[in-house]
Amino acid sequence: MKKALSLLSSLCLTLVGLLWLAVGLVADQNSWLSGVWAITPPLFLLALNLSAAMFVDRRFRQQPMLFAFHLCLLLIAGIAGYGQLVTHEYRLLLAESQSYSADMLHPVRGGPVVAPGLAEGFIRQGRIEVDYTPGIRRGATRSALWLEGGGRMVIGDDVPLLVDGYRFYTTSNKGFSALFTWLPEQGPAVTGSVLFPSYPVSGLMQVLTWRTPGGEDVEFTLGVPPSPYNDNWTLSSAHVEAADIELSVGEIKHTLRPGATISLRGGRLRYEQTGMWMGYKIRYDPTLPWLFSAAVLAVVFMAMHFALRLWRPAGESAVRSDGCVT
Amino acid sequence: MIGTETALLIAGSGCYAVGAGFAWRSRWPAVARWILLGAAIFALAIGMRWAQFGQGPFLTMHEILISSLFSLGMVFGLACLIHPQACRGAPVATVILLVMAIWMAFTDSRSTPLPATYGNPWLWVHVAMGKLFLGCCLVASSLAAAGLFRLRAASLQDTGLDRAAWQWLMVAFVFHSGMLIAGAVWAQDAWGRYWAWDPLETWAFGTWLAMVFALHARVSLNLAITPQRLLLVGVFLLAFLTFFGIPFISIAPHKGAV
Repeated sequence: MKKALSLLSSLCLTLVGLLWLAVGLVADQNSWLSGVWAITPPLFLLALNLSAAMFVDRRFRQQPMLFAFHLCLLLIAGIAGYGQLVTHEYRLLLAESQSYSADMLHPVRGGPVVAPGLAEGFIRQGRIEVDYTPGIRRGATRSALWLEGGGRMVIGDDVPLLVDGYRFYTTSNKGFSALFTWLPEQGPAVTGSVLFPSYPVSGLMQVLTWRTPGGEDVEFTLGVPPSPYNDNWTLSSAHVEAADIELSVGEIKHTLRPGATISLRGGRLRYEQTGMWMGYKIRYDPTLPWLFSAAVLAVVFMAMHFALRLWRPAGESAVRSDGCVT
Repeated sequence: MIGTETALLIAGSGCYAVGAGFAWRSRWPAVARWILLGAAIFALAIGMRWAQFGQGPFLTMHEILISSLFSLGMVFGLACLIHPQACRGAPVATVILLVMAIWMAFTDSRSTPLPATYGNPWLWVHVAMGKLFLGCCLVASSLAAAGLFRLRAASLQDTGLDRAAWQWLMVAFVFHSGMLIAGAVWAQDAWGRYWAWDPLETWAFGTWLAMVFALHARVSLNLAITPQRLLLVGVFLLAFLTFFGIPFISIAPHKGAV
């Protein structure tokens, strides 16, 4: 047992693990092997090797800063592994004036541990603005969010919304929306938004189809004025404030202006106004502060270890029978 | 008629060339002075460019070369002042600086607007750590290369030179680790993930691994002097490729950042 532990703790095995990890990185980058299979096994070997060394290597333990640094490395590996179990990523599209609802969340990936839910309507989408420079190069993104309780926050680019462990990020995916009210022949009116394709990436394709509550398929086409290609400009709902919407029901086309109503099967549809929608990337990762703390501590301990070494003469080292220094 | 910025870049490069001349004559104090003067002139050129375009030198190859010429010169010059042993790598370090200066002359000097995510304060920490890492790595590897090629005052068995080289690699390792952490925090805020194995992240981690390998191999394998020096030079080559090679396969230092 002792011999096995000694072999497992060998620095030569560390070198093998490092080389294996390097090969794994190359394999992952060239898509020869999936990331999990390319990187996890050598990392696991290195973690075992390090754990064994911490357990059996007396000289290792006699250097407290070096020991603490390696302990932090193990912690980082452990936290990152735990993070795979608890981290969740979602997408969310929110139109101006629209409130958050859990059924709007689209899961992208997530670990087996269920994340806590967010309160219904805890945010409502405010004004969205995106700056552009000549050549339609995207600049700053500003997305205003009304928080439950009356607060307001503007997020965008590198400023996410942090709430209950969730981080909301704006993305380059955004576009125009149109607000309609469905007035059924019987029952209460329902107001909701339809979201046109992403803009300006799909600038000429502002068309979408929608099935009314009465079961009729209609097609909306938003008439967007051309984007100023050679100027600085800001994309916002003002860009389509006066835009008409063409509504097609079968072969029949109608041009609607804000406030116009059209009769359809089972009720009437009123076009209220145009606005914008924003695509959000949402991450829930409770391990981030722990990961950051462990990483910073690792660097501090490593720096202290090196500082101690720089101020003391080079020591002797004992060579083991396998050629590795203990 | 050349512009002020171009004149400053030529003057800075000229100072490095004079420093190289002194390095090959082993006149170390003069080397440090000329390299620091060159770095100061590059700093002035960066300042002028910054004022003209209203943004830092973070994006294009031209900007990355200018800022690296400044930071590498500054770190190497200061290293020579505070640790005279470091100056013995000057014949190699100055040649590397001159190669970069010539490369810079052939790059497109136009500015490209910075993506909005580049306004994050962690970017500053990330870049500063990266520059300090590469500077310390240059000191370490140039000492090793001077020993390897037995250049000026460096011999095959020169333990002082090698000890100094490893000491500088240790400092470089600390800065590189700091660069990875600061970069992860920036990436988390900018793109909603702290690590995604994009080409630059992977190569940067590969460089970190190479340093870990070198540091472990040195103490565990009883390496002879020549393989030790080769390891140090190899680490710098990998780091150099990471800093200046990745932009060839990506439109920005981080692919997908724009």
